[in-house]
Amino acid sequence: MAIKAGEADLGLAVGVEKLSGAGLLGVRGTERADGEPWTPQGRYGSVAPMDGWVGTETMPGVFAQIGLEYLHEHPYTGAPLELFARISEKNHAHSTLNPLAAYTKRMSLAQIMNEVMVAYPNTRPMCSANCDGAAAAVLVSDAALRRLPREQRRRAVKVSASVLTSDPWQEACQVLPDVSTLTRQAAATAYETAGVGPEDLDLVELHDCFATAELIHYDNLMLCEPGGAVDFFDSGATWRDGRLPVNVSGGLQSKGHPIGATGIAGVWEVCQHLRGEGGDRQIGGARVGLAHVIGLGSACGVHVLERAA
Amino acid sequence: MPPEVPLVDYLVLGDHPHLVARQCRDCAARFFDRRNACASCGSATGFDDVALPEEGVLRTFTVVSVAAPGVPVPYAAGVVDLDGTSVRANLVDVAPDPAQLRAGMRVRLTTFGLGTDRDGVTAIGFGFAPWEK
Ligand SMILES: [Zn+2]
Repeated sequence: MAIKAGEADLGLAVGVEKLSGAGLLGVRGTERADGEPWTPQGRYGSVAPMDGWVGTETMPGVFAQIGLEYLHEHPYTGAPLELFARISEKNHAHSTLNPLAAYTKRMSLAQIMNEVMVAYPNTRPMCSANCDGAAAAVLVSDAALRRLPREQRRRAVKVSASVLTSDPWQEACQVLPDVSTLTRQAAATAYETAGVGPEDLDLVELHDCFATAELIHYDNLMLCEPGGAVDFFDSGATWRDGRLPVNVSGGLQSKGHPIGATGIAGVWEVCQHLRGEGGDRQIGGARVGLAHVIGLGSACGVHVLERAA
Repeated sequence: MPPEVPLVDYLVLGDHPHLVARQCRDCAARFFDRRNACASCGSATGFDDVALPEEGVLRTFTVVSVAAPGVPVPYAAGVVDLDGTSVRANLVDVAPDPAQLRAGMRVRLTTFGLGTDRDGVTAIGFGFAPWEK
């Protein structure tokens, strides 16, 4: 933003996280001493912790509900567990080509479905992994770019859109987080700003904190017809050899989800492909990519990036 | 009758236990938490309590098998649509098994005891149970 305002012409964006072993996020323990008097506390006047007694606040459970709600609103006759496991199968297959991923093992559909159930339909490999991580991006103005050596100019990636949104109040948004409205708004603004449509994209890195989240973001990012996320995935489009590869890094389910670094890591992944530096996992001829990140609360970032040269 | 206290202050006990929402006087947005201003329109005009129906429709659900210490698992959790107002709750009087649950199914509020403290006060929780007319 400072670069755009002309206050700076060279900047460094850094994301860092130390999260290994943090366990289940979003919840505290609910231990209380036997016989301790019930005392209303907090903004719900609750006499005891609510998580697990008044629905769930666990992240795997929250996103499980978000995914199943989509399948209810856009009726699906198949088995939800198998559908979401197939999304996870794709990302774990992609991760085998990414030496920087936390997990690089291919997993069969049966393995994923039979793994430890965390919150139906999310089994353990369908959940993003808590891990440490860091990512950074160097940002330069057009003027500063012209002063750089030719080999660095050649690697430059154009930031065609950089959009940050927060969520407007919607009915139920405090009951179940709404990660769709703000993603749709960010995507619409980003496409408009970049003069690029979803049909122009060569690859997407989206926020698959859970397999159930990946499905709904196909729709939110308008990669498919409204309500058509399942058909879009079933077409094979999002595999690395498909029409629009999604999460060729392995996604947060394999690459890991170091929360503070996740956003820039997604941008970095897209940049590697646009520069032709994707190594074994290079998406051939990639010219335009999109990176998407979410933080509950909520905020959403969408970047449209284009090969400059 | 021994004294009772609701698990949350938006649960009203008595002969017909039900939930109440706080409705913004300006824009009619509904909330369950105590607030100084409306998150939808920003108004601080105030809120009125609105009783919600006991029956509704399950919008979505999950069965949680891994939870924080002290929370019995597995348990079924979901979001229930009470005639246009959504509420978060556990699904009770039904096995915590995805095969027994279906988004779109009709559910009804029910209450249960959570334990009695040393003063003899029993905390009452609530959940929604499958219910067909
Ligand atoms: Zn209002």
